[in-house]
Amino acid sequence: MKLVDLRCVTKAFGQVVAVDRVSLSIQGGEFVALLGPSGCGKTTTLRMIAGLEVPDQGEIRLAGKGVFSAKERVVVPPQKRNVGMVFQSYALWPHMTVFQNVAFGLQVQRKPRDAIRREVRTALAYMQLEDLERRYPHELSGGQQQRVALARMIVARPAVFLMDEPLSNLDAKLRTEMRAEIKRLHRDLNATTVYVTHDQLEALTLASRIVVMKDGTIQQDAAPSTLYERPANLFVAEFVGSYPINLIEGQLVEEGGRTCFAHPEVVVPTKLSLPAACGEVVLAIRPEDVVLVQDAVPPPAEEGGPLPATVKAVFPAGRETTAHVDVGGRTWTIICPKGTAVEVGERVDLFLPSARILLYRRDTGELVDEGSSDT
Amino acid sequence: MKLKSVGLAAVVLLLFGLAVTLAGEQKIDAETEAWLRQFKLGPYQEPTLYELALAEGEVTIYSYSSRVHKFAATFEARYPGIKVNAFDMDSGEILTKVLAEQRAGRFSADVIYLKDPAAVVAELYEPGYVFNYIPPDIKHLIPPQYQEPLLVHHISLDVFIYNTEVYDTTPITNIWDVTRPEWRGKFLMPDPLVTTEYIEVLATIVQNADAMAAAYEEAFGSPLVLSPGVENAGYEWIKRMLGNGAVIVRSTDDVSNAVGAPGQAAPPVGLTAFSRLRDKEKNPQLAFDVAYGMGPVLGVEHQVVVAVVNRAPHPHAAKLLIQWMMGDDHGGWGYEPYFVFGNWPTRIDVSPPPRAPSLSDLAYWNTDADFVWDNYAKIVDFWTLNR
Amino acid sequence: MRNSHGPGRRFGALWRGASCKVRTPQFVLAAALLAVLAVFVIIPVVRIAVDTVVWQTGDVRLSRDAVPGSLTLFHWQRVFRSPLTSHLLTTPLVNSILVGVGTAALSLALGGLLAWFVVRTDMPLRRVAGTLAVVPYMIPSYTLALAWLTLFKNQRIGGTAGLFQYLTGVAPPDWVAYGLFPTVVVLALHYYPFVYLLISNALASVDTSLEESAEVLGAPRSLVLRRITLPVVLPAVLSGVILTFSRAIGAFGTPYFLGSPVRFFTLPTMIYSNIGMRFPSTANILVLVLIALSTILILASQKVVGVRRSFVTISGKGFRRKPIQLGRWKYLALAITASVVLFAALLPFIMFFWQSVMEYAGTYSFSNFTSAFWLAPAGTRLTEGEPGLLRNPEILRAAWNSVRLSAAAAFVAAVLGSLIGYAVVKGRGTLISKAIDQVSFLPYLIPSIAFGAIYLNVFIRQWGPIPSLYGTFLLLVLTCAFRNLPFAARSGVATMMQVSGELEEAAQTFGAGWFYRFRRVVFPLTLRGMIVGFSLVFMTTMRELSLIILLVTPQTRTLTTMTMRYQEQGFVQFANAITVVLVVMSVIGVWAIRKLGGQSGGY
Ligand SMILES: Nc1ncnc2c1ncn2[C@@H]1O[C@H](COP(=O)(O)OP(=O)(O)O)[C@@H](O)[C@H]1O
Ligand SMILES: [Mg+2]
Repeated sequence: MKLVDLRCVTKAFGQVVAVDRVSLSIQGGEFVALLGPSGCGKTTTLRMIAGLEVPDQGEIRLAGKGVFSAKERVVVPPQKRNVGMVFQSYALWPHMTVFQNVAFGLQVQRKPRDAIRREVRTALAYMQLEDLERRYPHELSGGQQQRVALARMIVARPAVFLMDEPLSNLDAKLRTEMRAEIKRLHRDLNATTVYVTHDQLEALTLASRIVVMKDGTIQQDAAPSTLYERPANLFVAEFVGSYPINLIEGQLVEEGGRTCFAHPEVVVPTKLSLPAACGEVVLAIRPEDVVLVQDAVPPPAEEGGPLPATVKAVFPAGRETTAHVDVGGRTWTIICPKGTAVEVGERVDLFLPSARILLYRRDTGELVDEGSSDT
Repeated sequence: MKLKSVGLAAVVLLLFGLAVTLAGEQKIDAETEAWLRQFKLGPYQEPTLYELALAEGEVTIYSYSSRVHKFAATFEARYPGIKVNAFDMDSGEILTKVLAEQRAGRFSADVIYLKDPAAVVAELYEPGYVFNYIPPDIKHLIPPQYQEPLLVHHISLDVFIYNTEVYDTTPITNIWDVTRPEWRGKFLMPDPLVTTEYIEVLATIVQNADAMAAAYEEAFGSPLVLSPGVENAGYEWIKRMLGNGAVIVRSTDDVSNAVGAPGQAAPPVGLTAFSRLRDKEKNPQLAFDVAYGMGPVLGVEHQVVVAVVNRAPHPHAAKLLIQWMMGDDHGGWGYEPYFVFGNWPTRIDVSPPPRAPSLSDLAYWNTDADFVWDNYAKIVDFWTLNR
Repeated sequence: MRNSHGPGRRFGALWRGASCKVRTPQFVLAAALLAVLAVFVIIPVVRIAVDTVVWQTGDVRLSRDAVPGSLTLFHWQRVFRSPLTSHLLTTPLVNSILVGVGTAALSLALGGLLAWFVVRTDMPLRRVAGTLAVVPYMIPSYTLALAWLTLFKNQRIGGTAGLFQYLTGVAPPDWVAYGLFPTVVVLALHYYPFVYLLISNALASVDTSLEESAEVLGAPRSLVLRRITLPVVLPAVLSGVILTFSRAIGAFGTPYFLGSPVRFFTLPTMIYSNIGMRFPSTANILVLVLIALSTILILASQKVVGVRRSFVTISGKGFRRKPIQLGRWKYLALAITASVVLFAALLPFIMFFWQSVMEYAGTYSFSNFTSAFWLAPAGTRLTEGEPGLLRNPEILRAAWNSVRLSAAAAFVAAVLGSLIGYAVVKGRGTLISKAIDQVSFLPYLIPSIAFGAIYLNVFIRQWGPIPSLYGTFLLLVLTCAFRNLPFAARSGVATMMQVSGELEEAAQTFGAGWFYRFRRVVFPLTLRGMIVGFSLVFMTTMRELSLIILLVTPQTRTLTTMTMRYQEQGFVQFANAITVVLVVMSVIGVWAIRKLGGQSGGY
């Protein structure tokens, strides 16, 4: 069942169009991350789902029920939408104790007193906050406040969990810890979750589906692996990934009956079949896919190259070593295989496996896809 | 004032009334009946004002003076069954309130009792918002100039004062003395723009320009030469007085306290209310007195008027209250709160309060409501431009 | 960001947005508030404006052509283009601006410093100081002016020389004794509690970790103050500046009392005298000038705060507060605080009390002591038969009326003020929000005597569903509440600005309806601001006289209206005793409301 359904939703603040014709469907139990740089409209989208922001255009349905429609002039206020939200600032009520904060949602539902006590205690125990129920928010650490905010949300049993950058106020260690906590939460409760973040790692590790946004529009809506493996455009390609993706400009040409990516220094065969339509393209490849070939080792078959490069910097980091290399004036990141050692200034050859390269049109930034070119 | 006799008279009246009602039925033929009716005798006798007022049950008065509460209390004791609703506020506030009520048709007040007759006459009397009432029993006891257009309840004076600790007699004897260099910065008067009754004082000085000119000649030995653009000697005095660094203060007690404070080497002189002399009873250290020898006059008169309000809800009670305030037909307790040093009753049969000089012994100028009204803005503007 | 696509689309979006907004409770609330303000604020102001172009009955004195009731521009010409202009308008205006700027600056310094000492440092006796710091506002400012003259008077206005001259033999120059300088000092000592209350309220909700984190980064104290603390308290600072400036340019008593000996006149002097002389049109034009002046300041301050920038400090992220260790300086802080409180609060108060137990006014000696004015039974000779204050049932009734009126007006104003704060902040950037913000401040700029007169003239009639309120206690309450609404509204806005909107939104997502979340979340969070508003209105109403004198009835007369009676009869002792009672009642009232509010606002 589609639990959350946005159709062509638009919202402008004065001259600024914060969200532009966004359509999005979320099934029950899904964990969807809204990912994008700051100011791209993630929060606005989330707030429109919650009803805290009224869209200008479009339609929103929650659990099949229309909660907003510009055409039919329907606006269901937040309190009637049965959604739960964790705010970036936590929004804990400073004048209430932890217990009172968590109990609030149940009090609104007019549950009996002892039921409230029981459920609040359960939720607090689940978030490991048993001993803190009499404290006020200002008497808690950041991580504890975050847990209270989560406890407060889950106890009310909303149909959808909305979380707006819940971890952004925590330090790195706590963040990892809370990430696990949120994952556990989702696994245990199987609650439909919309999770806003600007941190692609968070999105990749938590979400079952990621929606990348930029300037108020959806760039790609896909499973984390697809998103990583086949970014729909250059923006997504560059935005996702712990290491920046490597880029190089060139042309698509035909060579030996194959469509190849051509650059003055390198020619990479592709799996595409129709070159003429594209012309100017950008080749993108993830650092871990670049094959570093040192002197004696023979190049693997089926791969383009070699592409000459000069090592500019080396970053040994225990498990793996990364290096920055200069490729025709661009800086690439590469990952050196275990056991190989490169030195600054060393000239190396890079091979680009055809299966791993991504090609984007230089004019639109769109992925040159087999689907679109295989005709 | 025959204050004691009031109580006695009341008892006598009451007994008499009882006797009449207790008398048995009379045999009256038709002719007598007509005669009785014509001359309002016997059963046709008109009810007294008190009886009529009693039916109204209460009376509302807006008073500039808070001593209203005193005569209200004696009134209620004298005429049981009639309650007095006494409001005390500024004369200007009374004007505002009555105007608002009259325009909205909310007739609440019965009697108003206030200063500033010029404004009262122009803004309330002429449009028909208030009416004159002179208690018939005492009409003959009030000089005509205090009967029209509105009944004057009492008068007071604004006078020049000096410090008696330093000066044995008044150091100023002529109104123009305060324009002399030796009194530069040493003359105080209340700000007429704030204590507005002093606009009346200034207007009266302007009205008596001829006397002012004569006084100048008397003081300086040469005829007054008016400054360019100045109309007459009255205005000229205002201009020179202000030009001589006169100190403008807020109210009359600021003047008397500054002039009368003990231990001064060169105390100033001032223009203030005669009644400030009463302050000396409460603060014996104050040392000042009225500059009795001043020429051409000692000061200027102020009138306090009383009137019945248009469509008063309790008209009979209003009349009765005014009668009481004027001291009724025997000179009763109603006037008592104003029977104090500094106020002079307008009734000729009542002597001035103890130790107060008789009005006829004092040289002062009367105020003329019409003149004040007509020249009000002109004087205010002249003052504003020259201060 | 992308721009919208074409004007047609934009218009459609606007329209639809508006139609959706109509249904939100915020919008309904805002519309309701605007309707209330229209009746109680806009109508009076419009009346003021209309009266300036209509001949009044008293105007026949000004011109023979005057036809009362018909239209004219005479008054505007008289004020703006006549030989009188410089005396009526320009010079007083300049003087008023000087007084306003000086008072605002000095109040800001005093109030800000005291607030910082009390809220943020480890100064000894902070709690006591915190309570006493607002007392100067409860004491009528003219008494402070009197106290100033008692100290610094020279021979210029006659009378006994001041204490300074008595002790040193040197006569203070005129500029110390009279005019701008003493006016500014006295007004600032009287009005700094506005700033103090607002800033201490804001400081109390500043997350000190913000400051600490900046300090950890190596920022010097001054930078931290300027970049972290100041922006957070800026709305409160500006509110304080607006309140003190507007009050100072509108103040009549003190500037007149201290200024007139050197003929230093301000705009309110001209307003009051023109009202007194029954030239209401001239007075009203000058009132409009005052309104314009403050409006300019308000608009300028809005530019500074900006509409979009918010200074949320109650954000739902908990924070800690740690007092700043002043070390040895804390005694200096205490000394500064003590001397302000002593001079502005205790000294005048003691003077009053002393002067209420003198047999003969003005004689300071023990043999002159009497308790008659407080305790004598009726019929005592010394008091001319008046019973002592505490035995006079009329006084006790009046005192009760004062308390009743002040509490009721303060309550109405505080509730309205916090609703206004809510509507203004929630609707930030919308026209209706701006309108409410501006309109709710207007009454502050109208002199009370004019305000009372307008209410008399407006509510003496029935207006559609609103019955004639003339003569009712309700009208007194409404008059005092609306006249003092700006205190409550300012405090409401300042407080709401500090409360993050997400706190309410969080409640909303839990299904809480508007009333429920207002009661459980918004109200408790803004309670502190409401208490500030309540206190200010309560204290002000307690001392109100010229505002209500036209509207009181014998049954509803308040304590202040009784002072007039005694002053006229020369009983300064009674008048002073009443002032003592008023101050004591104010202190108790403010203390009680804080106690009451403190219990529920303990976070
Ligand atoms: N209440 C608002 N008023 C005006 N502009 C806003 C408002 N909220 C968001 N915006 C603008 O809309 C855009 C998207 O904001 P937001 O949804 O908060 O982005 P994100 O959460 O992705 O960082 C930004 O340019 C922001 O400045
Ligand atoms: Mg965001």
